[in-house]
Amino acid sequence: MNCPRCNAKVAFTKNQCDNCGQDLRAYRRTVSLSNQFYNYALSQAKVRDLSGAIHSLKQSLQFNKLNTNARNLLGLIYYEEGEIVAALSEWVLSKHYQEKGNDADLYIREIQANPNKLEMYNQTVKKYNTALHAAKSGDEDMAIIQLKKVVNLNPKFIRANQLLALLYMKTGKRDNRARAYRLMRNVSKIDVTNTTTLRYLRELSDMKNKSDPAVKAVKIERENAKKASTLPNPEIDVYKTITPYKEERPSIMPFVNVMIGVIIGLAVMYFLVIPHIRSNVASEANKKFQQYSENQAASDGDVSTLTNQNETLQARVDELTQQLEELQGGDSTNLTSIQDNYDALLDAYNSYQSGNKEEAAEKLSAINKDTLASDVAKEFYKTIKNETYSEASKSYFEKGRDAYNGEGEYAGKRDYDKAIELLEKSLNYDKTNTDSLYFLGRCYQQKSDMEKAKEYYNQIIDDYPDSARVSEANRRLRELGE
Amino acid sequence: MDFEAELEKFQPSLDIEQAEDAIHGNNTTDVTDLLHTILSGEIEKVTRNPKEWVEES
Repeated sequence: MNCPRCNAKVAFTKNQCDNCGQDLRAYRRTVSLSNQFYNYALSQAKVRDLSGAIHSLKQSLQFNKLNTNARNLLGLIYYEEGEIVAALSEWVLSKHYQEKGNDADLYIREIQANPNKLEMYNQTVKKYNTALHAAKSGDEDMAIIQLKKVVNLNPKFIRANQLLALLYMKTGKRDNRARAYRLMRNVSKIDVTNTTTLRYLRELSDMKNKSDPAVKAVKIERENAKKASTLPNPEIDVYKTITPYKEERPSIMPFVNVMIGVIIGLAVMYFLVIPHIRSNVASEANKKFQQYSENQAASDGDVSTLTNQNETLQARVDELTQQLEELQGGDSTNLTSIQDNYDALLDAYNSYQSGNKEEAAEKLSAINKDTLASDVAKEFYKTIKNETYSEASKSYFEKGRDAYNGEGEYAGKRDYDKAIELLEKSLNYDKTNTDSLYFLGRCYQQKSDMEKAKEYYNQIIDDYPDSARVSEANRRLRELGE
Repeated sequence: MDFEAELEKFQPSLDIEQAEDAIHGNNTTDVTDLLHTILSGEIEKVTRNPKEWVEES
């Protein structure tokens, strides 16, 4: 207790201030009375005699307005009755009178911690005031609608419940009276000694009968409303305990989240963006391929046309080549042979003119007489041939006979193979040279090739019966057993 | 029951905007204030009219 004069701290049992000597008996008595009323109010509040508690607390504060406990309790009771603003006012005053060590501070902070709830309470107060105004103006229906909302939002707002019950009673309808009775029953559980509530309950005593249809209907209505407003039971893990706020410590989680985001971004790129790009590229490639195919088809057409032209031209070339061959009478590739043949014919002529008939015959034999186109050349060829072939045949015969006999160039060594070679050359220039035929037979006879020898002997006898060699051929055949 | 009379008993409730006025207007005087005033008056009176010093015999 503080001395009212010097504000010094004084023990409660002291009759006089130690500091200033002030008589404290009257002051102590006043404070004591305030405390007694507070204690009485506390006991009333514990049995929910809130109206009585409010009365006692107001008395307590009339004795000592600095009684913080009494003021705080009064605020709590107002809060319980839904009078938020009144409760806040008491706590603010309490805080004003005792700044430190005051529970009001906690209550105010709790109210301010939930601005939405405070706003909701404020709205209920405004709606109540609007409804009261409407009711006083005679618009009970509007008032009832507003008060229903208020009671739904703040069921402990005793004054709103009482006003709604009064308006229900005023309608005179039994179901509304039943509703009013239920409201008052609920309110009486909050404040058991509220005289207004008790009077209304007495007025509505006819609604106590539970078998009354109106009461039953209201009960069912109430239960349905309760079911509708009841939320389904949540799963145990859905709501977690709200932990107190803690300053975030540096964590790896943001980095992990960023990495997850990057991975998701890459996945989106890989599965959505890249396929789109690829499809565009593929589409582009398809277009190019299509264009290329069209160009290729056009080129193929051109190639086919050119091939056909080539084939036509090749056929024309073949035809002309064939005509040329026909004209040349032989090998088309040997286009120079004509010139060569004429050159050889001239060479042969030169040899013939110089008297070397054997050489002239040899050169003449290399000439293809069919390539000689002009009749003059053919006649010229024929003349030289007649003049030289018989001479060449004789010359080769004589050489062959020398080889056979081992005379002349082959003196001392008989060479039948060389003789056969020379004699066959002689026959090439003159097939009717029976001397050559005879000596060929002799050569083969000497080489013991009797069949060949007989063949030549018989040729002389059969083909040239007038020849001088016939008798010798017959004699040789007899030697061979023919 | 007289509904009109009952209705008149209901008073508007204070909303948040009116709370400040209500708090400032709550300047009630309690018994301790009265006591303090009384005691201050006595002190002032004593100060203004001090008893003359009386010689003790």
